[in-house]
Amino acid sequence: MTSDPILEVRQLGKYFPVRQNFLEIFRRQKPEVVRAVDGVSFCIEKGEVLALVGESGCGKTTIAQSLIGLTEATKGEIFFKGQTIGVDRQDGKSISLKKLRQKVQVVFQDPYESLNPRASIFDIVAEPLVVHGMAKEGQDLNNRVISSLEEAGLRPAEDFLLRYPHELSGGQRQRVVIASAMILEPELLIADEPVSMLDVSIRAEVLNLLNALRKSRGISILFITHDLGTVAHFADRLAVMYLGRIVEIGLTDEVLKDPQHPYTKALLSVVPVPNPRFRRKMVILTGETPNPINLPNGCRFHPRCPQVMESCKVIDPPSIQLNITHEATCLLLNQEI
Amino acid sequence: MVISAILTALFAPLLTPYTPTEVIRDSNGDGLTFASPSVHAPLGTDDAGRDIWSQLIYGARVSLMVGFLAGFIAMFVGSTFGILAGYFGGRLDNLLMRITDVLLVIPDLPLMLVLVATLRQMDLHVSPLVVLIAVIGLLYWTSTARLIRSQVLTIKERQFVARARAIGAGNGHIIRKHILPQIMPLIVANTVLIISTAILVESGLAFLGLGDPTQPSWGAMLNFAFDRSAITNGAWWFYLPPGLAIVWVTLGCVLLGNVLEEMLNPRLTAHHLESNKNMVAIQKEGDK
Amino acid sequence: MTTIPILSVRNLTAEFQLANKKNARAIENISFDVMPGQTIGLVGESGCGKTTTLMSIMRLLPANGRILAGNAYFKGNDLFAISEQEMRDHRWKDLAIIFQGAMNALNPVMKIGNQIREAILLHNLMDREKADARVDELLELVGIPRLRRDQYPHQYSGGMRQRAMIAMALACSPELLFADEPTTALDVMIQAQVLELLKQIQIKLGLAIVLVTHDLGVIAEMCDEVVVMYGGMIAEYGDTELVYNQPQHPYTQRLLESFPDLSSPGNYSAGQDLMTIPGTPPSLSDLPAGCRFNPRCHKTIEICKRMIPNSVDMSAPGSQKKHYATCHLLNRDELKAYDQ
Repeated sequence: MTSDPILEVRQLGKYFPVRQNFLEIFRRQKPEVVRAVDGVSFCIEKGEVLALVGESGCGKTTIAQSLIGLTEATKGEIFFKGQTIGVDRQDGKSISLKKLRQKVQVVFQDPYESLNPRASIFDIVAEPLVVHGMAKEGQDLNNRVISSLEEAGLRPAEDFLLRYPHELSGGQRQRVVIASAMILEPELLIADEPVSMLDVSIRAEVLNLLNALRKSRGISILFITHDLGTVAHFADRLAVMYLGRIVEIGLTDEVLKDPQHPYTKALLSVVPVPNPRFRRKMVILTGETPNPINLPNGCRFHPRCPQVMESCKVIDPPSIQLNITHEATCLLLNQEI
Repeated sequence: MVISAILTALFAPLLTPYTPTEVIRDSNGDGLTFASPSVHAPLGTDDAGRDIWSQLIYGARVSLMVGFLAGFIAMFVGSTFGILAGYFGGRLDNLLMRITDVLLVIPDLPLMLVLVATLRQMDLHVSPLVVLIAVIGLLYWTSTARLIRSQVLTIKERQFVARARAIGAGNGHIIRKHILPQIMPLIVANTVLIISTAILVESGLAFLGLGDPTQPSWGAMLNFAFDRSAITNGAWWFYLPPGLAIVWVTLGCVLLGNVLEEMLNPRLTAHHLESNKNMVAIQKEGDK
Repeated sequence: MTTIPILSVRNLTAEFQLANKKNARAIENISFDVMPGQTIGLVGESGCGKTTTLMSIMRLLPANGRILAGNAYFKGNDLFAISEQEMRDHRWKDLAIIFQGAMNALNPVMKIGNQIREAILLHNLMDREKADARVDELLELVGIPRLRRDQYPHQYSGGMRQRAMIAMALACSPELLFADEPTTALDVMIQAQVLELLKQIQIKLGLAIVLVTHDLGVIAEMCDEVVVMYGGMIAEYGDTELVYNQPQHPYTQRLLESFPDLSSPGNYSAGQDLMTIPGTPPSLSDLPAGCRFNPRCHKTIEICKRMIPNSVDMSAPGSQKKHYATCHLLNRDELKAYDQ
């Protein structure tokens, strides 16, 4: 039996209806929809780190929320190791949401807001075990909390158990979040901008921690961020999103050194590089990412694309396979093939 | 201030030489009516010769008890409504809030007068005090409900609640462990304020004659004072003490409530200069 | 003929009185120069004192902050030696500032055009008509379509709000602009747009800019000279290329190593650990004795724990480019004397 990928997403879509005002309801006008995520497909293998990169409004956080069941997807399918989310079944074809949560955990962006200010560190880290009834009160629970904290780099763990979040620094809090996520021994970790709010020198520590966990536990990570620099060091594969779709996906090396989609090229060209002698031609796109309510016809990117052609305004490009791992959605590639 | 009132109420029998209903007789055996404060009766006597001081002390019991019980009922009902409406939203929220609105719209005092009067006519075999407590309690939960609901709405959206859900926590767990601790301070502060209102209302109702005639509360005392022409008799010791007592306790409660609210406000954030946070404090906007 | 610096800060020291009666020495002995038309960067992590430096120079410290020592010369005149009234005149007309989180500093119930006009009317003796014309001029300068002048802040996106803030800052044609983390909350493409805008404005108006940020990449792109701050003091200061390519202070060295760099091809090997600096920046009310960086320094020696190092000139002899670093290891004479 071939092992299924840890996560497989097919044509995932999430549409938010826009609230209508009274007149519109009265006239029975169809509500407008915000297509936050519109047909996203990808998979993550065991032990792999996939980075999902894009600017605000591209839909990456919505994807994260759909994956952990905080919102329900409007269309598309999600498979965890070949199982759909639904009820627990004997034949293993589907898995309940609660069981799923043991296997998929989240790390959020804001280390301040992720932790209940009135709960002690012990309570926070123990909570997942308590909720799932997986540990007995007392020694067993204690030990597991301590070992999780130590694995996350908070040593000696005993010092932290009775403290409260506001007593810890941003980096320490993020470690607590990671400790509480890892205590259930999940197979997939979804990290939504885990280091954006931390200082530069602390970011490296947290990233190294995630890397170490990946090596020691073999977990897969979906790393969501807007910061291409962080991604370069850490991810095996990279997916670039724009307005609800993935425009390019491939091995990190491939995408960064040989980008095919004009948006990826532009994005890479403007990332600030800490090297004053480095010169490159910056492709600064004009305007802003449009609102996902009024999507342009044809290719979503065409109004801002520096290489736009006539056909782009009409045809929505399909995904073109460039090699086994590298794909991009651009009509320009069609011509070259 | 509040503590002094509570202690007085609790230790009433120890503080008073007479029971409120005992009539003090003078050397002649006649009732000592409207006697000015003297060594026998520190605050004088009322029209039937009963000691004002005793009435005041015992009255504390009644007023405070009604106030506290009514306050707790209001707090309990209000918080429950608020939490359920705020947390579950949707139809339940609508339903609960419509009920709240209905009660908010009707003017308090007239409704209470009607209710108390009607219920007493109905010969329910319960003490009139119970009627009073029930009525006050059941009408004052509305402001609490609204307050709690809006707080719950805010807290519900905070990231640590999302995290709890992502871990797989059920609604009960989230409400108990995450939402309640955050709103507790608000509930406490609000309850204190409601208690003060309840005491005032009780006094008002008693003053209008809707209280329990056998159990003098401060309001009842005022009622009797006016009824029995204490003013014209110049017996200031009859109406002044209960009035002052009401003011004293109410003021105490209000002050306490305000201070509690300030101290326990969950929206206070830490100073960024005092501890190092390693945080780039700006958040990316519009990242959804 | 040598030009004098438009801003010359010397030995600036300031502290805050905290609620618990302790004093936080926010900045100490800060000195740097800004030449007309130049961009200088203040870089460092949270709590290093970069914002405090700006606020001190503008004399906008909060009530519990005090300037203990130092001078700030604007075109030769000490800003600390004048009255508050005179300082107010300087503010906005000569020195303008874009605050951190500026986008949220806009009044939500006032139209953007009017807010900019308000800034003009408060300072200049322009009448309304001329001010309106000036607002249009400014909007064009920052790339906001004139039609959007009558819109409210919530109708603007983050990038546009930042442009509006820049327009407001330039309202009275200042010669020096302080920008405190102007692009930190923006997406990378919008950041590129705003930085490009600043560069163009600088060339057009001959503006000098002091740019405060934690992003080493932005500094490399924008700044001629850079001041690296740590724990309220200057760790290294000089020409950007020199500091980046030959960092002398251990903190600068480690900081540069921990910052991901897309431009060096070898860095794409997934799974390699990034360089880190163990520990955390010091609490400003509880500073370590001696060099502020010594608890975390990988090259620390005995003297570092006891004495604050002096600034050492590391520039090549005869070179116009500055390069200073404050580290005991660089001062050979000091080390020799200490050894004995």
